Amino acid sequence: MTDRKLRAKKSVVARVKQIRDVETGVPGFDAVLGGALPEFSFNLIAGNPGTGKTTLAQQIVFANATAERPALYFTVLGEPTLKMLRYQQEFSFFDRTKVGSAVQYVNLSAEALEQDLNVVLERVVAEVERAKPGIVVVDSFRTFSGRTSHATAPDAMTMDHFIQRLALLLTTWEVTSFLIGEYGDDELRDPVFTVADGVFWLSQVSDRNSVVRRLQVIKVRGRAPMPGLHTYRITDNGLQIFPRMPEQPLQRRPQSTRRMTTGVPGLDELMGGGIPDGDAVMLAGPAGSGKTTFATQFVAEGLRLGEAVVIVVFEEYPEEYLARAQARNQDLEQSMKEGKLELIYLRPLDLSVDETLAEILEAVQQIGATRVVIDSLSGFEVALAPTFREDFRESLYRLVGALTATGVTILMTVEVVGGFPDVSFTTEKVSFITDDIIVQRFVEIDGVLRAVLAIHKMRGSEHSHDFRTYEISAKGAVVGGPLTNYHGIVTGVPALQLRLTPPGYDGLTDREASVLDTLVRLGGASRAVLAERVGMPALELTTTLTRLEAIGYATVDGGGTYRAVAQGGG
Amino acid sequence: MSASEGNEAVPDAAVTPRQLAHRLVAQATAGSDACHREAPDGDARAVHEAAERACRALSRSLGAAGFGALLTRALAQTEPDHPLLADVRLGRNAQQILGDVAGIIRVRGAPALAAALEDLLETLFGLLGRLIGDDMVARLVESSAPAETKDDEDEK
Repeated sequence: MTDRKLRAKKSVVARVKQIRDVETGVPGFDAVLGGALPEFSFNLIAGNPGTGKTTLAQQIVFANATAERPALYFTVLGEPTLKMLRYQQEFSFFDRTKVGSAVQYVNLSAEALEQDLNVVLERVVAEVERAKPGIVVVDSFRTFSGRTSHATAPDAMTMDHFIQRLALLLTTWEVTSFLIGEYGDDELRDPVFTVADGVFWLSQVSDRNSVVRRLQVIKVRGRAPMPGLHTYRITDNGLQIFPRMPEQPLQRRPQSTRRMTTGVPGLDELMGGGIPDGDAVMLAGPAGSGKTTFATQFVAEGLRLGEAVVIVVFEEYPEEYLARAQARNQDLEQSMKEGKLELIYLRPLDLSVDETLAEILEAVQQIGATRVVIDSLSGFEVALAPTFREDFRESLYRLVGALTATGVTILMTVEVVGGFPDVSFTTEKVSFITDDIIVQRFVEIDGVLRAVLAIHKMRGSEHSHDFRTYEISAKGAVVGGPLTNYHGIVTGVPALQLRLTPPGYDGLTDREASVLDTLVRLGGASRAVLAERVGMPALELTTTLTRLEAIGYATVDGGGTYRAVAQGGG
Repeated sequence: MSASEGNEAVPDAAVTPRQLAHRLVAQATAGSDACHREAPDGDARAVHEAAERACRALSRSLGAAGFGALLTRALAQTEPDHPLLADVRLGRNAQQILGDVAGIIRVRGAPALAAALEDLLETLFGLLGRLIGDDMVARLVESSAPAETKDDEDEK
């Protein structure tokens, strides 16, 4: 880029920065707006009834109004002021001490009933000149346009003209203003949308039993707003907007050499020393396989090492979760009091992924967490509103992407259905987003149900390929030895694979040892039986048996029956 | 009056409807000019003006319809104790909500009207206070500085 172009670019940037910001005071809204509202902008808050337009405006008003620069809140013919005051004061942002001074309510219904916009404008001018407000709201602006269409006076102002004059008036009086109106999707051609500097569209969509509310910033002059639909929730604190995290490729950081110990004895060895720092780990297992126990130990280990941890639970109430940990001598409650642990409970069934992410990120930043446990993805999927559930993979992709970008190590549990070899994660479609996968399952050994696990995948890291048993006792989970003497573990009903181990088989190849094993188990067998049992070609079997005879491991009688020869001890 | 001047009148703590009504009346009678004070019905006229101001302030914030509904109920509740209120004719514009009370003073006497208006205000503030809180009523009544309205101009 040439110097001239650079200078030109810099001057543009400098000019943009001259417009002061008006922070909205609405959590998440400023981020969506690309920073904040431009001061003295003329904005439209549009949407259907019940979407929270008035609440949004009131939040902005109370966040910004001061005695020196008050807010003028004009009400017209929509929601009666009495009711608005009655209900809005229930929100925490509503500061009663500001009413009448910093926040002044003015009713324009008499002027609106005149059906002449000149009258309305004159009253607005008079009030603005008197109060010198910093913020003006007209709620609901739409009631003018509905009534003035019947204006009959020859000099009656048209709505287009009224909007133009109102916008200019408020801007020249250095007012940041908001018109509130009920608009449908098919009304975007209304002239007010052209005149307005900012247009904020609120909507709510019901899908089956859930309702999802969304905000769209259709335009905001002088700012670069975040595109897309942003979910929001109306709580006792007013609107909270959850900026939609843009889809972005998972930011794979260079593999860390640091390992996070899991707190599960025996598991770290399988994982090459623990979970690589910053990885997203999926712990997949059937119901009752101890996923939460493993997760809780991962949490407790982090706390023991002085780390801060965030747990997100969807299926269990926090009290139950804490009580269960307490039963294993893990005092998570104490850690919460110390600010080292944040337990987030989300179970509303109409969650958006952005809301979940916002909650987790806030908790992570608040306590400086290095570990995050999501227990479980299955519960998370159920807690999402149907519209987001349908695209769970995309939702999770964004969630994990955003979380791993912060550098935390994430352990996610997920319930699997079915059995090996068709084990199918309910999230098999999302397993690609994880760095590491630990698989748990139940197998039957000698009529006893045993729990086993294996490391299914570790991205860019050596790991054990053994199946290991594990036990869960009152003290927690402990990983045991490998199931090396069994085959067919993935079937769920493994068979013992007897093998006489050295020194008795010194000098034998695996194939020879396998034939000898079979002879030991059967006591004696003909060549045909042996061939069938060991699945060995006839010529190879003959050669093998000849060698076993020659070195004294087997004999054959006159009937062609082969037997193993017991070897002397020592 | 500037916005900041208006703020000085904003109460810091909640007052009861009775206290608020009494305060307005006391301020009105104390503030009435010498000419008013010397007149036999001076206090009643001052109270009437205070009531008008309070009504205008509330009407300005709540709208004529909302305020009218409240005032009608307040009149109905207060009338059994003060039958003279039956003679109050609600004004036709935003500047004179309670109408002309000269006739009432002449017939019923100034002290009776002053007492009735004070009770009316108390009832009115009480009704509104139950909906939005007593403190908010006080703020709306005592901090409002209405600009001239369409009705005001018509009156001129």
